[in-house]
Amino acid sequence: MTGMARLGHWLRLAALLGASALLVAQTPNAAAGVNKPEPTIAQAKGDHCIKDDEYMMRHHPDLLKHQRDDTMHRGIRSGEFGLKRCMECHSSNDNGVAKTDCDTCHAFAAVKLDCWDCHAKKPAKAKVMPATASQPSPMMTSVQPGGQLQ
Amino acid sequence: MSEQNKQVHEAADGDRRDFLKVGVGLAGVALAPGVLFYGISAHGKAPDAPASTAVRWGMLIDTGKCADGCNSCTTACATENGLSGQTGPQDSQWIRKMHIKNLQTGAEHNLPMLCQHCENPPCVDVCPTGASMKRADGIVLVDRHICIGCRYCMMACPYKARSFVHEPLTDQNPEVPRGQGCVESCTFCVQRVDRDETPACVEACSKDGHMAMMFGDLKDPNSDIARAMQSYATTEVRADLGLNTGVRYQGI
Repeated sequence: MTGMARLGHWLRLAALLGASALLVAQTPNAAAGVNKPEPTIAQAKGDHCIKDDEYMMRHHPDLLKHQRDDTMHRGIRSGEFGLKRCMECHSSNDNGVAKTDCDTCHAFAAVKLDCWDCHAKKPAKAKVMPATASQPSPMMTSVQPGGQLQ
Repeated sequence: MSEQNKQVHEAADGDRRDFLKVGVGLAGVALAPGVLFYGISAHGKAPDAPASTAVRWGMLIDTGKCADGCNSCTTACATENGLSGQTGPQDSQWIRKMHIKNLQTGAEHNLPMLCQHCENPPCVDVCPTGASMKRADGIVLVDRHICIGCRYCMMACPYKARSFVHEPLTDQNPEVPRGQGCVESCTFCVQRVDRDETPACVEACSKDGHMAMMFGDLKDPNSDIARAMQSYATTEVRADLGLNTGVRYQGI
């Protein structure tokens, strides 16, 4: 009986040591976030976004909404937080299938996104900006005569 | 010029005097006594500047020059704004080519009919959400973020200028977002106007040599459109409604 009890004691001790070893082995992995699920930002071009990642993650809806109202209602076109600018880096067009990081991340977070009902997923075509000093506005030229005298 | 048109001009010119004071102060640099150098375009809006009440965009259409069988303006509009170009009952039409005939005299005219960009727009009056709005420079727009698609504005518009998007859309022009469930109408190509360009229809009409459409600032006395409106009789469609439209016609 005494021998069996001693064996049982040793077995319990070994099991405890084994469990501790497993815990110790797992802790660094958990700290490094090896198994932490994250969305993939696959389309992003360039080194960094216009603001740092943490800020953009939390505040991009506010930035977009503010810019949207400025452009839509007041006609201010110089803002840096417009959707068109997002699309310059965060969208790709593979064989006619447009992919955006917006979709990936919102699918991951299960937040419905309805921007694409109206907005284009593709980057805007580059436009040549007219109206330089040497090029007067077409509205200022006199190419359009007033018409016939009534 | 008729008494009515005089009144219209006065209405459009409400704060011209104040504008001139500011304009001379900002843009005019005195080189020598009596000589001013105007370095800034009268119309040019910096991209970071908001639309200003010192400007009121308007259009003048000479029906005598609007050619039979030509649809340059409607085609250019469809291309610029990503419309289908079809004219079915459920297709968006921001500008329509019309042919009108006076049955008594037999006089026939062509004219494009589009949003008249009223000073007192009925569509804005009736909108329950504030989506239908007038910008400071007189351009009447729909904010699709707020539009709930009730179509009350379509019923209120005396010009049948608004369309409703019935079907889901894809492949929109990045500069002209538009989609299912919203009401839309001519924007005077606001994305082009903000770049100091003319609307696509006006550009196409001029390019084809018809010169039937003119676009400019009604409040600037030196603009081509203001001069033309000072010189010739122009007509406001349904002037009896007192909307003070931004689009005027000659020859009807």
